Amino acid sequence: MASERILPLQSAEEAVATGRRRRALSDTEFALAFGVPVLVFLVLVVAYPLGYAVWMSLHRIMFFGGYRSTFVGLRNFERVLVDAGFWWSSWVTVRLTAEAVVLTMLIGLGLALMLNRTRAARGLTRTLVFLPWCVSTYGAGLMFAYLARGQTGLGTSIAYALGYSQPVDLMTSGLVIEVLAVGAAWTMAPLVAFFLLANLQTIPKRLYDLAALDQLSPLETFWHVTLPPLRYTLFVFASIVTVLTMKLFDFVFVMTGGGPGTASATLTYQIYKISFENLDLGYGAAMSFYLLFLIIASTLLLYLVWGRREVLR
Amino acid sequence: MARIELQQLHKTFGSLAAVQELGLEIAEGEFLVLLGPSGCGKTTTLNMIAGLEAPTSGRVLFDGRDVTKVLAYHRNVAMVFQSSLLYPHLSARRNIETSLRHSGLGRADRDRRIADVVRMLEIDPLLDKLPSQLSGGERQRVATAKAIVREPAAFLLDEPLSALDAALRLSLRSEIANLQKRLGTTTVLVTHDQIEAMTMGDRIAVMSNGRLEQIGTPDQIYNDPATLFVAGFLGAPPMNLIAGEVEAGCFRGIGFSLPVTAPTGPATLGVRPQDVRVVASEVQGALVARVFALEHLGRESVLIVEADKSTKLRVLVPPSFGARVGERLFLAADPERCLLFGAEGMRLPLHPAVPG
Ligand SMILES: Nc1ncnc2c1ncn2[C@@H]1O[C@H](COP(=O)(O)OP(=O)(O)O)[C@@H](O)[C@H]1O
Ligand SMILES: [Mg+2]
Repeated sequence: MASERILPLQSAEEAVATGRRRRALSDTEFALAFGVPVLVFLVLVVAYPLGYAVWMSLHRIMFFGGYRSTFVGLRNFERVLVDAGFWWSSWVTVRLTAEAVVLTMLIGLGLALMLNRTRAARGLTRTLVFLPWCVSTYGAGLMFAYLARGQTGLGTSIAYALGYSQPVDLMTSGLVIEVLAVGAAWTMAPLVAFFLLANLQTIPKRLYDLAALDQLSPLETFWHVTLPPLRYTLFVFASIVTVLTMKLFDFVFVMTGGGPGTASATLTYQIYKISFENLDLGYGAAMSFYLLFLIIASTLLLYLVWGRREVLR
Repeated sequence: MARIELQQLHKTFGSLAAVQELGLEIAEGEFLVLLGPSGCGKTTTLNMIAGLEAPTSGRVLFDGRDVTKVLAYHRNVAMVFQSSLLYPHLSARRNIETSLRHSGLGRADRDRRIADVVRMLEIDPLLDKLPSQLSGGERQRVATAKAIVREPAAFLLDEPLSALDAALRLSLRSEIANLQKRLGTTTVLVTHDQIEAMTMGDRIAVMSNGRLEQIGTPDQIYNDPATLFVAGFLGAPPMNLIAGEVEAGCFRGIGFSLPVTAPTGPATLGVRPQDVRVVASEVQGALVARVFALEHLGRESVLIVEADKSTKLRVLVPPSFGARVGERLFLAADPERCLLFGAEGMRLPLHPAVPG
């Protein structure tokens, strides 16, 4: 039966080829025809800026007194390592990322479990839950800044409601990173929730009956029935959220401007300041490569300690 | 082991009555098969026995004790679900162990029990595999091991074989029946497959639309069906059912009549394919029909004839029987073997006055 269906197709192709005197493409030609434009595009979009960044990082670039660039070798990279501001920003970035990843996963999981249960007004709840993902980080930044500030914020309203008379400012150097992490999680958790929800819906209902017959506690049931199909998705999103948080800029820019002081100066913010406020482009480029290393190292670490096990199953 | 009684069980989902007025008793050590078409409430019934679903009304008794409000685990029942469900990320061994996790048994007792079931079901080589690495039949065995390792009071199986291929079904059928007899555990198996029911059960409870149609031994169910539904549901090829009318002590169907003593009114006559004969010429009360098809089964053949446009009848004939499609022939039924059903589908007594 298969051959019956293929044969006329082949002959039709041949007829077209000979009829129009057109030669069929070989596999290599076909691959090139589709591959080359993509490669060219990638080179333009990725390799060119990357190459330019490498070039910059190896130069000292000056704007004042006429544009000049002098080759300085690895000087910029050496300077970064002894820069206390860099180490502080790295710590801020790591702390923000760890908190944002944990919060995003927990909120995403919570939302997914809730959505999986709700029967009533399903469409409405799903839309509402998904909305934060659609808000731009810029808008979210403005909103969270408003909510966290002493004059207008949630902390103050709650404190007043409880009878205290002091305003509560959450944008303090001690808490600002947590506020940023909550905001970042707020925007990213909905997407995580929807992927987890898709996984949750593949769980056979009968597995919960099996757990009931085995007298598994709610926690054991969660661990043995609910969690296993989610683990791979959780790993993938932990990696994605790690990368996104380490690259996060607009949110920090709008919400805290790196402050108070340098309390929330993430690496991205630090690089922005060096490159575009101090106009030390070579030094900024060198620091951005350290950020790249940090991102690659963190995701690799995540893969080695967690992902490898999930991928192997 | 337990004696299980269901009393006046009702279960409704919203406006749908899934199980109605269900009453039956399962003796200690008995193998009962719940048989019925899909959607008739078998799984719901099993869930209520297990304690996974609370009846809307009615009672479930284990050994005379009312367990209607007792949780699944405390009834000490074990269940094998459709397609032999196991925890997908746990190895076969861990799956079996999970059954005993909260049993309160000591380490040594648990290991001994697990070793016993592993030996009994010959699943030693499978223990370290994940369910996804097991074939359908292997998974079935592991699920069975997981169930019986608890030494349950009752063993409940919900279509355990339905996802397997025919050859495997055949061999596992006898394995389950054999295991059940060796363990002597009270067992309820749910199936929509009449052959499974006939071959495995000590007794069969036939359900339809949430109601119990009949309960009895396979022999009773097959030879002495209480309702039209049971008569039509069991038997392959199925029983011939001829719609007609009882008038003046005579059943009249498509072009033939049979003397009966039954009240006047619409009725259905049932006769199994093996109780119909092809006769040489027209005898009194015989039926004229045209050959529609002849199916060879090897040991015998099924002759399908058209008595009129809407009625096809099946007749078992020897394999040597030959017939051309469209050929006219005469059929006679053994009146002793005919069954009569009234308008509501209930069986009517039939006492033919004169053999036809
Ligand atoms: N949880 C439920 N909610 C609503 N309806 C249900 C539920 N479970 C079963 N039903 C309905 O009850 C009827 C009997 O179902 P079930 O016991 O699963 O049948 P069977 O196992 O015989 O195929 C079906 O019509 C089914 O749709
Ligand atoms: Mg069912």
